[in-house]
Amino acid sequence: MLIQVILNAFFLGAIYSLVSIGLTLIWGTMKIINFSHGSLMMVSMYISFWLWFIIDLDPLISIFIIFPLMYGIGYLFQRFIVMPILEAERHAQLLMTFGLMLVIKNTVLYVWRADYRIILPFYADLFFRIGEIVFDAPRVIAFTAAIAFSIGLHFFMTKTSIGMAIRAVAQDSEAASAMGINVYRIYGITCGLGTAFAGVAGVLISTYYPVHPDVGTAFMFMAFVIIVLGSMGNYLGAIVAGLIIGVTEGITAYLLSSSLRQAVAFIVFILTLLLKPEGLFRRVLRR
Amino acid sequence: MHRKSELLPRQTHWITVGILVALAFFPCLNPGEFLIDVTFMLFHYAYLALCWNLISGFAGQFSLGHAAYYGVGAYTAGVLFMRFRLTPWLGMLLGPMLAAALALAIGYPTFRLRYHYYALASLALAEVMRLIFLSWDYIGGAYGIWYEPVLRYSWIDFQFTADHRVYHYIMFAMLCGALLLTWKIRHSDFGLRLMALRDDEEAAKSLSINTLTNKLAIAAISAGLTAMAGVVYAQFALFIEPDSTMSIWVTMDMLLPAMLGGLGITYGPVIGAFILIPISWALRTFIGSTLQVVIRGVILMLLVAFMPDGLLQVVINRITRPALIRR
Repeated sequence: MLIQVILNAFFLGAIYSLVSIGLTLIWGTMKIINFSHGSLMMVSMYISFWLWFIIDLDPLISIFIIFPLMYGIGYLFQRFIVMPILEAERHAQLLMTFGLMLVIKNTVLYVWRADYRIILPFYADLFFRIGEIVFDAPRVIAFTAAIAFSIGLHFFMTKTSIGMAIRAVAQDSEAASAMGINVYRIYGITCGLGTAFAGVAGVLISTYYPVHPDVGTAFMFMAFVIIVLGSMGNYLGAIVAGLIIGVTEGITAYLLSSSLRQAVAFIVFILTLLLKPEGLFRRVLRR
Repeated sequence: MHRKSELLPRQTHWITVGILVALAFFPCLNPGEFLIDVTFMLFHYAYLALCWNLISGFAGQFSLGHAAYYGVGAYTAGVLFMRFRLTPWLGMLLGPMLAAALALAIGYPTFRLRYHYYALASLALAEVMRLIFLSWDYIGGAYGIWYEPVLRYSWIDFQFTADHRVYHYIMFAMLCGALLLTWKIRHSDFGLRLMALRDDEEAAKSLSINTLTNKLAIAAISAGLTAMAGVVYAQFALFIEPDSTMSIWVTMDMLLPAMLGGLGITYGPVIGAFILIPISWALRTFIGSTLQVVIRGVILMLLVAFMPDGLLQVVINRITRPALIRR
């Protein structure tokens, strides 16, 4: 039973990784904490739900619609919300995205109420078992896709010129600018990419997780813990930390109580800040 | 980076004092219980905004989780009274101490790091506490704490359902106290150190200011004062539950007035609360609480983008010679 719990938590952890990658990328280049990240993920869950509900589009296919869509939203977010306050006092960025989170979440709450909505893809009830352990099809598929996207991102960041430009800007935006990189364009791309990853995470989890307006908040908190644990700005760290936090959360829910999940994550957060504030994987991306 | 509170003309001080005194003696007109409750809530929100401004405005450490301290205050009084039949005055003593301890516990790891860590940690603290309290049956869980018996008039048990004017005057006294304290801090060495570390932490350190200690001190003061408002609110509403005391909206109610009035201006939050809280009540009545929150979020974003120094500063820039005030 415990192994089953850990396995499912591990699968969920991959989704956490995906959400956190977006948050940590945005932090890494722009030094902005995006409080609206979770809400944007929630929005993509709703898009996924309605695509499935109205035109019966499987979430796995709608990824290919939602990824560019969320990229566009992220790009616009950077252009119209972040850009004007990039040079403002530091609290402006906190409060701006915090305000945006409230707006998105409550608009969704107003339009679609607090109802829980569930997507039932055709593979919802499929599973296979190895010994005692059950592998649900939606979980396995979501996990595989999450890992695929993470690997894809790593190749993008290391092999393509845009990916390398993003890393250069994250390391030192002034030096990158001096080398002829258009920093503001990279900001836009990073924001779009980060949001698109939150979007993909939302779509993947919507195959087995209920969709409701509050769901983004929980994921956002976990993502905060994860990016701090995995060193802020380091997407590889975020992937590993996401899996760690996922499993920690699963074990907590199993051994103690499901309502203490966030509390344990919070304790991990505080302990990280106390003992190793730079995170577990401090590497290339310094501040 | 400099905020310009010292350049505010004298008249605005007297306008603020005038409004406060007028509201304080408002019950003498026998306006009825409802309107007295309204002024009580105005004082209550103005007081909270002041507490929030102490740490966020003067010390520049943005708190997105002051609701946690508020909730701790409310729950300390509530639990002590309902479980142990102890007077809420003890809660008034113990609640702030617990809240201050909590603020120190999250302040100590975060204040040594960059500024956003405290914002993150405080936001997470409030949310985690809300979730824990929601599922903690001993203190009522999601059902909350309902005061029983409800006493008509008792100083020992801090309940005055028969005469709401007492709440009004207590809250007014607390508001004046908080204003005076803010003013004192603003003009003390301590306040100067806080503003120095807000404007440039490295420079403050180089002047041998112990930034960590100063931040911790103001965090504890701010949290303790916030908890006191929580106690009074619990005694006033005679019903507390996690969502109404610890959710993000409670923090928003402190943050938004302070932002509107002007960060780091002594009585800015009071003016902000007097303007904003009635508006948000009106919105809640006419368009419902969800849309009301949307509008408050939009207000926050617009304030940050277009009026980062607050309404008061804009008005004052209009009145006085602009050339003097511009950075």
